[in-house]
Amino acid sequence: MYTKQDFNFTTLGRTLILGFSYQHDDRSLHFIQVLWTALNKQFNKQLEDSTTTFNSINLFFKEDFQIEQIKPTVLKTIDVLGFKKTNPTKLWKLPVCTNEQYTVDVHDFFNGDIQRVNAYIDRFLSLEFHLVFYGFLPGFPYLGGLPSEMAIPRKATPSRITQKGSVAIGGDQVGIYPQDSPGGWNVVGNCPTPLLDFTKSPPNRIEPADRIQFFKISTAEYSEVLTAIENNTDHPYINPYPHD
Amino acid sequence: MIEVIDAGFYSSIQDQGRVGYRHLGVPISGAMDKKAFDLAHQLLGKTSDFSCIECTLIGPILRFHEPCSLVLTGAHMQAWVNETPIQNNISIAILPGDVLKLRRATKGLRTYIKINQTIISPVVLGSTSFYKPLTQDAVLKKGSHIFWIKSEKVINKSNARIRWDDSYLLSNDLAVEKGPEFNVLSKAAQQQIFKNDFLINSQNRMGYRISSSFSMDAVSMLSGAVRPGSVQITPSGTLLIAGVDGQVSGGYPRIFQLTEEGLNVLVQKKEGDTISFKSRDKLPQKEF
Repeated sequence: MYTKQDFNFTTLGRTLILGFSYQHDDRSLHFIQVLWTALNKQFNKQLEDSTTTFNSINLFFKEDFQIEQIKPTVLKTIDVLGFKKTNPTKLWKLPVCTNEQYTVDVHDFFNGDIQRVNAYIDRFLSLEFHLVFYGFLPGFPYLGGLPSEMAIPRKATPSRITQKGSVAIGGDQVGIYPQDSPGGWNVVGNCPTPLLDFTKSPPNRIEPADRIQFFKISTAEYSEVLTAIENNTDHPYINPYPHD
Repeated sequence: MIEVIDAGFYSSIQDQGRVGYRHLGVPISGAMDKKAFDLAHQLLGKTSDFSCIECTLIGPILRFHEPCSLVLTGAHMQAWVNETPIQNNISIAILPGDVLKLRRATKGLRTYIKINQTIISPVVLGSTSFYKPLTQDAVLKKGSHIFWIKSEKVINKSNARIRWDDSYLLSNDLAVEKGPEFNVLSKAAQQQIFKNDFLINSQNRMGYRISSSFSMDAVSMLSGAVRPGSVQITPSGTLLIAGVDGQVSGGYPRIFQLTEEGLNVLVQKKEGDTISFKSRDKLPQKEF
């Protein structure tokens, strides 16, 4: 949890960066969300955009600003924040196929030791992650919650293509590639369910501080989902629903 | 209607950008050169219509099937209507059948074609700006047709030339503020970086890559906010300057932020050009 002494102020042109140390617990993540919402409201008309990352809230002002004038308002907002710890976040369960063709990177990392690969994947599936923020690509979620002993360093040379849907590990961060893209993270499975729909408003259903768990599906189920998406038909795995 | 006879090197529809979706990882997009874009809009735009065609290095060849007025701003390209050479920043009357031909940029890199009609292009998240895969296409294609909303009257402004200072097209100086991680540079490098000239290795709408001799130890940091004009430095010393299609977050130290003016200067530079960094202020950065 945070108090106002935990925040520092820097700027990047017209962007005010409110920095803090990343704390991966339900309450801290939720606190940042509540603060972010309050700051958006506070500076509403002066902002063209705002974002969060693991350790910052970033306010994109429309015009040049004086940090001395903004800082007291931010600190005041933190002071009077009506944060209640009881507000639970949502839990989303996402399908992931861990068939060999989607786990080549993990096989490479463990030098083909099947037992260690399976142990790693089993443990991965038992974990609960948090969505921290979207970045890198449109709809790319950064998930926190991977224990440090499960961290896998980024590839020395990025892959030319990391496939759409890839659930991948970069250090102790987890992400899901919303499109084919060059990528340096190690793929641990593939989630066929698109998380965002940019034709909808809002495009996202899963919000920062929400929790995410993966469950294993077979290759046959994976194909069913892709076919259903292609034919625009329904499938239980396409529209995940939130659990409390 | 505009028929694309030749798409040029990299031509796309751009407007004021996709404002307000960075929190979903969506870059702002829109015109790279805001100054030229704003001028075009002042000369010919309507209040609610911002779409124009951004051309890069080699412009397109376009046949107009209906009358309109157009203006070119930004980089100077070899430009003709039919066989008659035309200049930037002047409203030009176009008749049905006229062919606008833009070829190589002679000064600057990016030219904007603005017509006095509202271009019809799919709106995604509040913007017509091409950005694949949010929009179907990244660039205009040969043979494609650009339609506009037919208004009752075509405004033919007189060919009054607007006074405009485009000396920034020839500038190599990028005005910068120090970024949050400026101090990753050694004390010597902090001085030297304002003295050297740097060569542009490559560029596109996502950003510019510039090599430098400032190699350093890898800094392990969490991804932070990046905006157009943010200058990050990689361990090998490559400077990455974000463009309008650039990622909204990045994991390398942010040593500079270009001013709006500095960014306009940069985006008119091409591969092989050199640039230098000039401090906008001498104030120490920035922990309050």
